[in-house]
Amino acid sequence: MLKVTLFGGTGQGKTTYTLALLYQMAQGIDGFRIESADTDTATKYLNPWRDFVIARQWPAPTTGRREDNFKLYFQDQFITDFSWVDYQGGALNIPTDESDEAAQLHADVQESNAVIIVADAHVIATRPLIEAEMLTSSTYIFNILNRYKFSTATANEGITIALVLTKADAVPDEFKENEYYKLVQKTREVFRGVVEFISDRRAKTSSLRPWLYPSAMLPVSIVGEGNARITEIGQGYDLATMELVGAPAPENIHYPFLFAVGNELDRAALTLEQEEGELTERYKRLNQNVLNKILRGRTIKQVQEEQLQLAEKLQELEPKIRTVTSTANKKMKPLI
Amino acid sequence: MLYEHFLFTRNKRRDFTAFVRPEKMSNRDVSTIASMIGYINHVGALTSDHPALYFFPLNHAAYLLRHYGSHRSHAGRTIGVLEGFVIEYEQVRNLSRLVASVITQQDQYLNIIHTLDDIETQDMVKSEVYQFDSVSTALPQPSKQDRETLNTFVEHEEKARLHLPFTEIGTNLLIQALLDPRLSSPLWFAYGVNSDVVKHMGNMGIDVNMVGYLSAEQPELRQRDNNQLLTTFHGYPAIAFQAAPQSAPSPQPITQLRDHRTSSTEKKQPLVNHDIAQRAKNISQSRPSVSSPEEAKDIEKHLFAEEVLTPRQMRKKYLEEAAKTAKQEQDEPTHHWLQNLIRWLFGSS
Repeated sequence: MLKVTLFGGTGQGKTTYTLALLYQMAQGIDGFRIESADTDTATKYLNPWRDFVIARQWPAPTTGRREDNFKLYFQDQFITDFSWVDYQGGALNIPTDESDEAAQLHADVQESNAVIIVADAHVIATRPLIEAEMLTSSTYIFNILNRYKFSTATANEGITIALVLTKADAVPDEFKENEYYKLVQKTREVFRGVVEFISDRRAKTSSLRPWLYPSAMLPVSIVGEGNARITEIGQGYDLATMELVGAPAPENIHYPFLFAVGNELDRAALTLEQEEGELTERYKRLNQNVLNKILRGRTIKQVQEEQLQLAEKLQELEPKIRTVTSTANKKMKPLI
Repeated sequence: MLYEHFLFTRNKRRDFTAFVRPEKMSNRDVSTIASMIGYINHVGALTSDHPALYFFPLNHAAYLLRHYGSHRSHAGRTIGVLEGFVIEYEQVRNLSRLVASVITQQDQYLNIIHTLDDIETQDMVKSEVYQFDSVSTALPQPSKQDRETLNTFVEHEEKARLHLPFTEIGTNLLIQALLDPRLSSPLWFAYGVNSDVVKHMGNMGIDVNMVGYLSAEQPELRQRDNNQLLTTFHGYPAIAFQAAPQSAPSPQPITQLRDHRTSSTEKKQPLVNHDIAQRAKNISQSRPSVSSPEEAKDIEKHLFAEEVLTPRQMRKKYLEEAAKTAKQEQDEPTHHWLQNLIRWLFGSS
């Protein structure tokens, strides 16, 4: 089962993003649909979303940690199981000996196939760089990813990174021009730790395989353009206060999620292809002379069978991967 | 009775944290309680006058807590406060009457946040141990209807859970149940919650005897294991909890950066439009704000960036490029050697 962990600084929009995503995916969007393990799980997410839409009440902040299991479908064809882990923002900024959530977050990141990092586009656009770094917790995020996914011991495992820029509807117009050019540029500065790591891996001199870190970002809006207004600009630790003035119309919500899942499936296929290549080599070596064929006939047969199984797995995976990545990768913006 | 304080809230610097906690309380215990109230989406409707009330066991202690929305907010959302007493489990057996007394004056006794100077400057601290002697308060007397309700509850107590409306009627019945010596003691409850909280508590091994749901209109008795309705107590007026109207948003925003409202005739632009014609239009429209030719190039690169590659596409591209480079390097000496040979043969300088 794929494990997708969602995290980010406090007040960045993780909870609202999760609710919007699960609402959209429960109904189905672009042919994609998710099903929760039981109906109560879906209800738990849909109730606060209903309050958000009807009562125009922002969802209560997440306290603690929440993990739920889902299945992803495309046009009723099963794609994959995944587990969705959501955290309170503060888990990032607290030492692990002071909070169980913090300790669990570290463990979850370590075990995750993909992470979805949520950052407030309004903070990125309107605050000085150093404040934006602190408020989005970008330095803390790099610290955790570096410790568990980037450092030499774990770097060959890789991870898929999707950066979701929430509240994109609220950024000043100049940051929206040219498909959020300025916002994307500033985000790269704010998250430069992660960006530089990925860039270094893509450099030809890197000893690590650069394709192990598929990463991209996308500005999204949960309320939709023109449906929220800022009532307090926010300063210091206070983030901007926004009021919903129209019915929410989520935009681009599902692409980062599909990116995370699709690219993770592709990474899995990559491993299978590598295994298949290794088996082919082994088969060639074993099968190259008559003596080997006689003495190690059973091993050769086993290798052949394994090869066949892998090929079947890949064949099964291929259309699923194409379906998901062809939708998501077109929309996402490269992280570097 | 000896007890310690518990306070779980957030301030500007620190996300939800147990600012005050008993000496023996572990991070795991805090996390269990945090994830439990994580299912409360209506904290703004809970007030310090009419808070959600909890009495439940967790590991070696019993928690008598109240939960309400403070006047503080973060990113436009009400900050909840969960606070109260933590009592060692050995002491709770005969405390039902005391619990009833405390909750009649909960704003006085469970108000832990007001024992601190300033929550905004507060760090995490261990609670001191306090002595609680007695509460001198006049407790309400049960009505005839209350007595009938409690008689039925006593009869089915082992298998049933008393469901209460989160209203004055419910609070009164909660107190009456705690005072009824026929019912087991301790009598655990989660009052002012929703079914997700109770389900989560159940998953954590916390089984309560009484629940109070915001949506409930009349007291009911339901099976603990399958939630099947046994009895509805019709003798009470059917009234569900209604949140006090929250202060309406100021008609004039304090600071309005820009008004995002658009009239119905205005066409909303999608967030990221990949249509080529639209992109071209975007570029032409935004030309004045481009400060240099380099920036214009960057913008063009941004707008016409290739699709983000999957790991396998990336690997393919990377290997192709590596092969191309290797071939160029291999070809180059041959090329030079040939050139030199031709020069030598034809005597050109």
